[in-house]
Amino acid sequence: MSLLEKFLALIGVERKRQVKKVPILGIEGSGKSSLIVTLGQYVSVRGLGNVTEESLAAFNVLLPYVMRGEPMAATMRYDPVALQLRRIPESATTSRDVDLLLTSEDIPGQDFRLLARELESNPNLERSSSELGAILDRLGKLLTACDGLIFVVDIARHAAEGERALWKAISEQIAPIMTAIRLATKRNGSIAGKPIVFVFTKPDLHGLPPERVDQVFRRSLAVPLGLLAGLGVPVHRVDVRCAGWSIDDPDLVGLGIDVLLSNLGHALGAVSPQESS
Amino acid sequence: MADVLLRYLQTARRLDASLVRRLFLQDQDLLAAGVEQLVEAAAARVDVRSQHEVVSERDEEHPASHRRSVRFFDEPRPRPPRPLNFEDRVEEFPIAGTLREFGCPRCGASGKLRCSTCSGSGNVRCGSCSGSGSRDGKRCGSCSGRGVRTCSTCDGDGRVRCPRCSGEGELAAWQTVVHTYTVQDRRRESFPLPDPPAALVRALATWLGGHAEGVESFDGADAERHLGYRTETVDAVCGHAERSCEALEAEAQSGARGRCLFLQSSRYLAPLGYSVLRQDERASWYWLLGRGAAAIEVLPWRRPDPVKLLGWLGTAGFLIVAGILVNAMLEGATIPGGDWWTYGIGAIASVAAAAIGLPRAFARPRLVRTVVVVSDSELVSPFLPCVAALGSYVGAFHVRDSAWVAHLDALQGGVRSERQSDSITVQLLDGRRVRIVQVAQRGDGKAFSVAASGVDGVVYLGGRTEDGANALEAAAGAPAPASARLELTEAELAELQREWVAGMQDDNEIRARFRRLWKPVADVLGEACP
Repeated sequence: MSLLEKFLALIGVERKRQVKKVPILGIEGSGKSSLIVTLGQYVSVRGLGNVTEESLAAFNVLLPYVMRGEPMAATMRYDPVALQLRRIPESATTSRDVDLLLTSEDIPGQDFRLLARELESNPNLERSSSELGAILDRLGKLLTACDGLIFVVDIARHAAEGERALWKAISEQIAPIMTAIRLATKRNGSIAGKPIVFVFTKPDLHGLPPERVDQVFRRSLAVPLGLLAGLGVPVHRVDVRCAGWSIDDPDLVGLGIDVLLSNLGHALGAVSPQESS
Repeated sequence: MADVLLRYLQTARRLDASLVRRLFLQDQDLLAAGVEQLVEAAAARVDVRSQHEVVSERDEEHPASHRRSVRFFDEPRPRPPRPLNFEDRVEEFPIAGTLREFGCPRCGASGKLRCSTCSGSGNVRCGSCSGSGSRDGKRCGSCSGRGVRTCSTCDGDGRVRCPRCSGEGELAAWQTVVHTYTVQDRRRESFPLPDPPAALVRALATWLGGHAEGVESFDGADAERHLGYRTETVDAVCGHAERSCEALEAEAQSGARGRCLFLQSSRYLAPLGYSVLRQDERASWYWLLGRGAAAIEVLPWRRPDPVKLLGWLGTAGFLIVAGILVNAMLEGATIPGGDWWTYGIGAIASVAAAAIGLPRAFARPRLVRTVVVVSDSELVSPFLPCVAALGSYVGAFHVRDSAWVAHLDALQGGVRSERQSDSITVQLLDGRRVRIVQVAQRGDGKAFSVAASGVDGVVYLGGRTEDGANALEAAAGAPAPASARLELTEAELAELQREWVAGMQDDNEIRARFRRLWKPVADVLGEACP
């Protein structure tokens, strides 16, 4: 708790804490819905936060698919899921108070696919359609309004190609999105100082060791990561398995969710740690 | 096709150094602009010339005698223009079977009409004496005292010739079939992007004015034969041009302007390269149309700098105010239009404006240092992608270009153009920028002499530095700039690229490799290797 908050608490004034917004982005089928549903289950079970009331219906529809590890339809355009995060575990005994809103509703996966396809042939979206311009404008506003970003990347779709899958996934998924972010920031947004967490999903399917994925990620994206570093953007990368878990596993251990939340909390500079209750 | 990047560098250097730019235009270092896209494309034009025939009928009516001078036909016998012999012509065929003669209905076949001036009397009232026959008590001289004069319209006859039958009383009427042949020209241009700048459209007209060699078709193979290269963009332009051609031909044949007798479609292709550049927040396009030294450049629009203009206006304002005040003091006269204090405020405002604007006009431009990389190998060297990736990884600089996706593809063995030079602009940790240009056309002295004149250094990949320097000096016609040689062969560079993609894990090893790559660049710039 900051000095100002302590003072305000002393004089009986409760300061309204500012909600930090972290959108989850990625092309459709990359696992955004699975991630947020798994996150919702994780934080609800551990009392770290809750799924927002408006998202409960969508959450309940998606939950069985995620637990069974089945593919789901690209529903996010119509059924946004938002997650209110109140605390982030820091260690076995400590946690941080936060006020995070994780949401996957802002830029639907289909829009990113559309944008990525257009960016392949028209990297500057020169005289592009109004639909793409609108997507880019929305992305720019989102970048300005958010406090950090989570990118979901699926490398399992090229699993048969082994390690080459990473390069392919980066070429197909991350590169266009990075370009889109650059364009959006040029247009009307700002990303300076806001952390980006790359979440690589389906580690159980691609089977590559995390260290190897990390090395390839940093090597292949060396140029844009250098540029982001120049803008003061911290970049993190985590592996998260966010499908196929069982409801019988009450703690959801070993999925990588705890690492994701911890990275996010550190990157966002959450309030000082306090003893967990 | 001319090398887009080399021509751009040459132009950028010239424009960046221009006094007009420094004094009046915005501080946009063209040389420092990052390359976002380098596209080999084409511009196409389709000219469709068509010959049209319109057949119409006309009813004619003339005095009966007129028919003797007309050649009548039993049926129309037009001579249409021969195929591809385009001409504008009109052919008329009076049809004999339609000829009929009849009395003029207007004059009752008499050929005469009553004169409307004198109402058939042959005389009109005298205007001089108003019909009295005398004027001022004397006999009127105009009418000899008669009070009337002979009608000048009918000459006293009281009747005039019928205008319809020209006094013949008889008319002849017939139908004439008219064949009108007209030539119509239609033209449409195709460019890689919709709504190209007007200057580019003009440049295409200029280029084709001097190099109008048509192509058989817009088929990919024909286009490649004509241009010497083929890219996806060329195919897209050719596809658009072919569709335009079909549309123009359909329009010509639609019959809206008469029956189309024949048409001729001419297809033209011109080499066109363009680069999308980004300098800070602004994106701009540099176009190069044509081949070789005659290629036409279409440059990004350079805007005047309002702050610099403010400075010059302030200076001018101050000089005017000062001139008026000095003049008033010397002549002891009152100053026009106001008091001393109003001029004082004007002078202070002018000085303030000048103080704001002039420093920017005279500020030193940002220094962008340029290093040319020349290889004696026929292979496309992976030098630039490796430098970009390793340098960014170790944090020695960050790359300002946005073409990193192309470098990513290149690292994975993607095919790159061998005809176009490649470049990266990197920003060092202290904020200075270095542009590294890898010349594509090795062995062509002219190609890299363009880049070498005025660069800060040359790095040779493989080969012997002295030989390269001598060749460069001879090509550039000036002392060669500082040069260094990379102690890595092309094969070793290719191996480095493979290792980087396959998984170079040791950070110290990566740093060492980067230092080895960067050392010749640092050497020619006279700096320590980071």
